[in-house]
Amino acid sequence: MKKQKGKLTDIVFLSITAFTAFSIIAISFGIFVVLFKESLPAMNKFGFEGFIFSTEWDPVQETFGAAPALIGTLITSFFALLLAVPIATGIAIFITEIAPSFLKGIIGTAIELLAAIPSIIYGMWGLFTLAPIMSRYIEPFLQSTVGKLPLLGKLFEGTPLGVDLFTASIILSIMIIPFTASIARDSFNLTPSVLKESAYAIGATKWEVVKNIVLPYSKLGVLGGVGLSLGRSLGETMAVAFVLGNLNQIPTSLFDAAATVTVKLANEFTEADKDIYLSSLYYLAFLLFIMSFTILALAKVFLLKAERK
Amino acid sequence: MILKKRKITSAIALFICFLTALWGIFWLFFIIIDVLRHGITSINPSLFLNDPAPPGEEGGGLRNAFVGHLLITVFATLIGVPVGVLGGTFLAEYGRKYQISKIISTLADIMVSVPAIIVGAFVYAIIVKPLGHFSGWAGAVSLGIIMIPTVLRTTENMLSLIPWTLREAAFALGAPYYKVIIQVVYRGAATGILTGIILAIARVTGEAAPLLFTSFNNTFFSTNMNAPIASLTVTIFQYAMGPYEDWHTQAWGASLMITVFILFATIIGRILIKRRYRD
Amino acid sequence: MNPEIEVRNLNFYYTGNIHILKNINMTVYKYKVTALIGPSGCGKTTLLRCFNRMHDLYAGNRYEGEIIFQGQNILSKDTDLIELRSKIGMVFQKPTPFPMSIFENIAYGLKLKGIRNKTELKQRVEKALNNAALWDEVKDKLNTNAFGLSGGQQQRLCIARALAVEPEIILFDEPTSALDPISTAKIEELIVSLKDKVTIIIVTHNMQQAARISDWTGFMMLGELIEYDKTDKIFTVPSNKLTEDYITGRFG
Repeated sequence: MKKQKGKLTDIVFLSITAFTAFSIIAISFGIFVVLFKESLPAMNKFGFEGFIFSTEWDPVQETFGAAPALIGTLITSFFALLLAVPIATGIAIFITEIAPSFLKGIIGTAIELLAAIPSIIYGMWGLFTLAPIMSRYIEPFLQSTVGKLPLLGKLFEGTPLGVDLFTASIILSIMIIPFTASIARDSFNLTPSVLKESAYAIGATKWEVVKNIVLPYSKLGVLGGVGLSLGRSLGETMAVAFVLGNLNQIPTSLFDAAATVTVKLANEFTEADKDIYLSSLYYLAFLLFIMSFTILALAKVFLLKAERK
Repeated sequence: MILKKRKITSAIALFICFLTALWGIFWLFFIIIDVLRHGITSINPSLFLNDPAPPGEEGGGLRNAFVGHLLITVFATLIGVPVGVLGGTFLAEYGRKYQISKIISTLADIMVSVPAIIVGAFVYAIIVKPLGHFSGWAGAVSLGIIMIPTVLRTTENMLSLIPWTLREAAFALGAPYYKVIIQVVYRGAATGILTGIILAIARVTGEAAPLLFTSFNNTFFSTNMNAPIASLTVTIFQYAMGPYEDWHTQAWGASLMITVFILFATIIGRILIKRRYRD
Repeated sequence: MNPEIEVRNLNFYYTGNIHILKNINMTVYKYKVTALIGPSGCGKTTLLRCFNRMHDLYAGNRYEGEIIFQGQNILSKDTDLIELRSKIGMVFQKPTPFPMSIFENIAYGLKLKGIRNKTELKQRVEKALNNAALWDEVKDKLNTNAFGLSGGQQQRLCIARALAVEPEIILFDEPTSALDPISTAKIEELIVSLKDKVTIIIVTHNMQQAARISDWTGFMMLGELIEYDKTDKIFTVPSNKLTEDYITGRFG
């Protein structure tokens, strides 16, 4: 008797847990389907190339194009990664190979705390503290020095208002440093001690061991970490929304205001009064979903391969 | 000669790595101290006890936002945590031997990092549009959806840490699987799972994007989840972008409260995890 | 018989002041194979790792006493560890090919020392691989990844890598315990053949291996060097009862 009841409860419990686990599939699939469905009117009206290459964003004329937003998204993330990856790698090296054991924990915790600070706080700080500093000191300084150089100088043209691509990229880079550093650190720790000892035994310096052994060995893991960070930064909204300006134009200088898909969505979603307007926003959201999902999936593949080693 | 050069190169390279660590710590302190500095001036009883004053007028507070945010977060937790914990249980227990579990696990990992604003747009389409109005429920659902993959993965990881032999010992005593899970495995992994939950709550507390077009915002005090409801994060966004100094001050006050809560929760979570491993 | 390296009153403490090696005194002779044997946990690997200061990689370890090599105490704080390790090489229990090509693995130590000349590198890599009895098997695939080699080949690669920098001494830490019997036999043959080029200290938990290939043997137990003598003597007429018990299999 009791055995029957136990078995029944088991089946019920198994079903419940299985159902909840499958919700992950339902949610991911659901998001894909819903975003697609909402984008259909815009997809039908503008097509694919017509949408992603067009720079128009005119709610009155009802013509919408994704180019500035997509480019803005890619540029801010690119610059953010450019700044964040070397620094995060350095931090990971410091934690795994240099820091004495008591410091390891402290720096590790500091990095976790940096990661825990919500996007909106970065936004607040960016708008009220960093942007003024940028516009008053850093950006004019850069303009008067690097800005004078022939090719590179083009990047520093325009009025340094502080609310621009440059500030947004810096904030974004600070946000993704802890994430990248944490994954890099885990990858470095996977290097077998015996391998490092072999290098020391041949007379390598600590830096040579890091450069020639640890880094090549952890290649896959670090790449995966970079991919994950890229995926995350593509989807960042609040930190960037405060300081980017949501200007629908393709930026030509670091000191230009610009737009990203997320910032556009945040600012205009509730303003969209016409169906085609909203549908175009959904189209942007759909493209963003596909982009970030693909990059995150690729990164995950790298990370899985790294673990399997 | 060459040896000396190599040693110097090593010292310089490692010193640069030390500098990067300083860079990270610098920003952490800069940001926290800044939030403290700006926010502390606006921490007064009025922030918590008053509702917003009409735009331009001084003296309002954020009582409605604190209450609204609390409600949304509580309901989001009620949605996200059970689904996440039970789902993680499946992956680590009943579903252990199936290939599909690995797929769900990987998918969940990806979903953890998917843009939060996309979840908001999703929930808008499936709840807000059909119902014709914003609601606290829609906001809670968005945050709940964001919590699920996070809680699921940490639960799965924590349960997997419990050695299989422990389960075998319980089976050998004649317990059915569900009892083994609830009475033995959950007990062992409790601290870890709790930490995962705390960290997930900390994370969604700071979210603004998914609430922008689900729970929207409300300038009045309300506990009606079936209508737009105020939240701290959305209010911060609106106030910060607004023209009034008073609004900016309140936004900082709210920011400070959120930051303190999240840092506190994160630190508690870390301490719990460390203590668990010490046992 | 030339003394190569002399251990005087060596005591070693792991992190937390755990006394592992107790008053070790021994002389290792040039161009001889010296084996360290003893039951698990007796400290033989710990002693081996003192010779190239491997313990320094981990905080909290402490040496007392002296190890005299080339007229200097290599345990002193002034010792240049990088230089020391290019004179005293090490081969580990598990084969540890670096994530590079076969050629680059062998050339690694040479490049560290600043040798850039391609011809010289090629010559020395070939020489090292020949000395490690691996040249014929890999000469056509020097640029392929070292991971593609079999376990035994990888270990010989590690030996070649250690040989390339032409050290005075090579330390072997149970080099064949992860290998199959045929690879083991090849490596034992190789070690004996290297005797005239380099001094060898080998830790092994396999007594018969020690008996087969070494000239001198040290028997250790619980951190002490119980007996140290010519291999023939240790294995036929040991002076200490403990040694005798271990050799005859009464324990360990």
